[in-house]
Amino acid sequence: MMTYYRQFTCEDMLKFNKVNLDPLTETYGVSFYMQYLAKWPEYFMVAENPAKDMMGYIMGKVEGRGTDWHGHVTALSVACEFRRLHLGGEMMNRLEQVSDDKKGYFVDLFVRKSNDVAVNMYKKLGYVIYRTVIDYYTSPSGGMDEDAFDMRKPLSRDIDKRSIIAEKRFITPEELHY
Amino acid sequence: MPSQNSYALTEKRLKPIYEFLDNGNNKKAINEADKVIRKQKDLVAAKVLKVIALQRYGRSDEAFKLSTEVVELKPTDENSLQGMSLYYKESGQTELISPLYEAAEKLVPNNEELLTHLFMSYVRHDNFPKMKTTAAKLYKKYKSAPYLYWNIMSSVLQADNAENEELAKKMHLPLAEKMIERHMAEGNMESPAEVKLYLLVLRMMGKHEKALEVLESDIAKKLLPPVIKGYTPEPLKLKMLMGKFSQVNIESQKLLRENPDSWNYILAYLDSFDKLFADDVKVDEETENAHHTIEQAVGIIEELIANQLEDGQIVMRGPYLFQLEFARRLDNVDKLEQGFEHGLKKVEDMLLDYTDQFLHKPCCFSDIRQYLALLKKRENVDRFVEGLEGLKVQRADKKKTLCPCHQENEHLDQVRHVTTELFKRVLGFHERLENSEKVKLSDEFFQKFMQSNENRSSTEKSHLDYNVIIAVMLLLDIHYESGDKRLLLKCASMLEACVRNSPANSEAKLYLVRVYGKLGMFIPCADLYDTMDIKYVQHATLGYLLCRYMTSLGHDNASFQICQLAQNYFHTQRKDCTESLITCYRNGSFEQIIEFLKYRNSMDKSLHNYTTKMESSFVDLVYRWKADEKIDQLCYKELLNLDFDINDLLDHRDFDVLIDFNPAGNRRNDQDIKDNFNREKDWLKFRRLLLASLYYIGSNVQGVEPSSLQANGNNNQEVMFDDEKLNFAVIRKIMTELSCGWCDVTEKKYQFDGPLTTRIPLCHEAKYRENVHLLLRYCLAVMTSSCRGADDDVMAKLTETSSKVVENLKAFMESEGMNFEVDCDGNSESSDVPSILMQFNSEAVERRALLTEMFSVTAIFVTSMKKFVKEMKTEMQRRRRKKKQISTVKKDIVENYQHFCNELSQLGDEMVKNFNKCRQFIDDKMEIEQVSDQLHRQELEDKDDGVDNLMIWNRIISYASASYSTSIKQQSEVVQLRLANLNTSSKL
Repeated sequence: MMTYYRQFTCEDMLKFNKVNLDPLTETYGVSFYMQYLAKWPEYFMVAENPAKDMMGYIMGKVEGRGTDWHGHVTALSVACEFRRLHLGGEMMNRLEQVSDDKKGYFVDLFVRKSNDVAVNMYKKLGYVIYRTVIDYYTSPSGGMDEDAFDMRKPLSRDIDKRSIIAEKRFITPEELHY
Repeated sequence: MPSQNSYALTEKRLKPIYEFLDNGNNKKAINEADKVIRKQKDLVAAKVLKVIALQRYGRSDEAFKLSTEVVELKPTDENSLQGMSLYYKESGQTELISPLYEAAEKLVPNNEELLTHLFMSYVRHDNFPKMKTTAAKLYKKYKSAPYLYWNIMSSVLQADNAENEELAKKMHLPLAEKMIERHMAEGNMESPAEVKLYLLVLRMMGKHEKALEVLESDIAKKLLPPVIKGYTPEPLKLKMLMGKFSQVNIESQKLLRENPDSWNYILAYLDSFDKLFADDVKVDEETENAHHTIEQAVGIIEELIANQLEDGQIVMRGPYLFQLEFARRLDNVDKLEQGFEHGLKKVEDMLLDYTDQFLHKPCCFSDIRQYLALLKKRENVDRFVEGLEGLKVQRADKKKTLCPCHQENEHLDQVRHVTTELFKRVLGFHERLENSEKVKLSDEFFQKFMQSNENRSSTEKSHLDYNVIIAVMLLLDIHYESGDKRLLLKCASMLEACVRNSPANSEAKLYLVRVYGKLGMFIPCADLYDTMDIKYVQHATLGYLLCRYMTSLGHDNASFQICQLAQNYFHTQRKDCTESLITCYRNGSFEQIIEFLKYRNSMDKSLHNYTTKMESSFVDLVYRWKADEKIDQLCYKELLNLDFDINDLLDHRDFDVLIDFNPAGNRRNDQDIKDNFNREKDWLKFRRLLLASLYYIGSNVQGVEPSSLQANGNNNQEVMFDDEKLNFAVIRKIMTELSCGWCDVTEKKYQFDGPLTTRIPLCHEAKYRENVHLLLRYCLAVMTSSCRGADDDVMAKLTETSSKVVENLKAFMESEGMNFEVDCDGNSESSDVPSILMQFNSEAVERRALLTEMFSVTAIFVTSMKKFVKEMKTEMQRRRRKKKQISTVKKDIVENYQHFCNELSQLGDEMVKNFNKCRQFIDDKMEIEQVSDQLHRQELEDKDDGVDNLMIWNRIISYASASYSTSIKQQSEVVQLRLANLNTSSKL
């Protein structure tokens, strides 16, 4: 994927409008991005095209204990004009590499149940629906809450792929540890 | 030491207070704390909780008073200290955290926790030297590596922030280097953060060779994680800095062959090639395999392209863009022709190589737009476009691309078609069209959009929406030259149709904001902003669009809210940024510390930060201030600091959020943005002078009674005069700055998607600056006469200034373009734009809003003089009673003042009458429109998109009516408020 990859910096917040002015991409308060940069800088990557336009970014973290030690994808967003170029997959790959280097057992993420495009993309990348989190996404306008799929992909450390075997297929957000 | 029992009892007593605080029940928390304090008078923790509760309950004065009592008790327990820190953070007094911990640390010197908090309190205020000593103390006592690195980082920050670069180079950085090396020599380096900090120090010192050695050392290999796939490897970056271009080139060739689609490696190759090519290196053993000739570079490019064209290979964009970037770099050094001679293809062929594969991808335009400038001659451009025209009809791809497209061929053809038109536009094809041809082409593209049967997603914009953008841009081209409002309205209707069909298209929404702004309609601008969910850091980058229109179009209520929202963001982000610094220290993310500090300092100086601060104070004062309110509570004090250099502000406005599709020569460019930024700063300088004038004149009235300025209260003596109390010096300073005039009163007409013209040209036309200067002269003369006695020439000064002010206001009120109602010509009925929209003069909205603002400002100045004039009148009455001689000059001053007030009142009355007329006009027109709408609806129901079209126009009409009515209503309220002030003032 024809891209310039590098670590995300604070300055990038001033340039991410084309990516973030998208209804499914949330813009968070500055502290949210900064906390990720302060704790997991290597998990925050940006992709630029030759004209230095921001094409997309991925942010994540590593967390958990014991066999729960894993990488987590917090946000993955690609500007509209750079979609369907496999950029999301490439960025996921890099995040998986970082998680592998950190000896994580798996990478997980939450995705809206209705977001078929994203769910299918993650499936193609080797993610499976580990479980469903009921009413994970609360509607800010008071509308219907939406379920999330908790998707997982085992990493090389999880030889037996135990991390993708769920005890319960459906859980509530309160039952989430991370 | 307290016994276990007493500790448990204290906890039991405090628990309810904690609970009330957690639940936000601050009043009960205060009562509960009082109860506990009564029972246990020496319980500092209860007092601390009461401080927090008082602050949260809004009783900040009491909270502060009690907090000082707590400080005097010198608490040392963790709970009290943490509680006080929380109070200081919540009340924005973080500078008081350090003294609190300093006192505690003196009493309990060997407490690691206390010292750590003390260190962090210094971090909050960039107190690098104290951070250093505290970290040193911590390391000395506890020998824990992070403390050593806090100490080292403090040196790095001292170096990074040193005004004296020599000091940084010779003292702070070498010290940091030495400390790390000693630590490493002792075999104590244990974490990646430590290696990274070492590399950071070496990089800052320019010691690249040493950094490379560190990177290649066993310890770094052991501790640092592997390079993330696709990132430029650190050693490669260092070698480039060290001038080892041959090595970089050889290594990047290898990396490129493994991954020909990586822009990181292509840049590494080309950066090193550029140096080798320019230096004409001698070939030796070391450089043998490095590329330094055009043939070699062309060779590797061709090799990469040929490899992927083999059957079964995925076609990647990388090698084609590599080829174009290489050509661009040759062109930069005037060697492009030489490139052609040595095997490089013609530019149009290189571009077509790329478009042949990727014209159907939405990224196509953005990928190659920067290389179009390489098409030097018309014939090259024509050949490229001919090639594109051939490609766009080509059906499904011959080869499997990186991401095979599953959409219909028809859709792909439409994408190719629209992208080709974008290229044609950017290459000047639209520029050459006659206006009638532009209109025709615009219609054609809009129809294409309307007829497209694509299933549009509600969450993703479609590339085919560019059909509308093209249609809009063509009309905007004509509007740029002619200023024809009808075209703007047509653009609004097309963009509304686009947004309706493709609600996720923020580009169309941003165009719409600009269109509505130019049409003087603010409400849709604000609505569109809401739908785009613009927030947090986006205030700094995109807030400028709303900011330009809110106050200037007379929407002061919205303006105040928008500015407050932005100010909340700037305030919170500053706090968050500081707290994030602390997280960095705790996590050893040292590089981020420098980055965060830079970011925070840059946000402090953000244009939007200053503008919204200024605008909210200004709106509060000019539009809302009631004569009996204290003026000093209305503005941010820092705005009154005339020594703050506005030129230091930074521009974070994001213009690139809209792709520039204009041909060379008509593009948004850095110079325009810079010029506009300078004018924005000039505007802010004027705004500050105006705000300061109002503040200093206004606070004279509220803070100082004229009689209190008299030396000893003896009425027979000459009244004493105190320059300082009356702020005369600062007022004179303001007058001097005002008299300097604007830096430049004209402003270039920027491209539609470029910067927005400032308010300066209109303010200059309205003689705003001149009027403020005149008003200050007037006020100074009145104040001087009242306090020191009237000079002989004072009447001349007062008459001249007051009549000139009124004259200027009247002239602007009667100026061309002030009429809101427009007599429509006969053509409007036959046009495709509803005639009602042509009957409102949108330009008048901004002119009227400015007149209102100027009127309000004038009234505030004049009203502020009431006390001084009244004092003169009272003195006259006193003397009359005592049958003493009355100063005729003072009598004249009083009369002149009353005359001035009356003249302004008449002007205001006329404005109000006019507002009422405008409102009536809008109401009448809207009523007629509703009737005709019913009739039209029946006719249009038979047409395909007739009702849709009608609904869009109705939407625009209601936006127009709501925006103009709101503006007029709010302006009318302001004028009436000031009229009331003037009426009271004239009755002395």
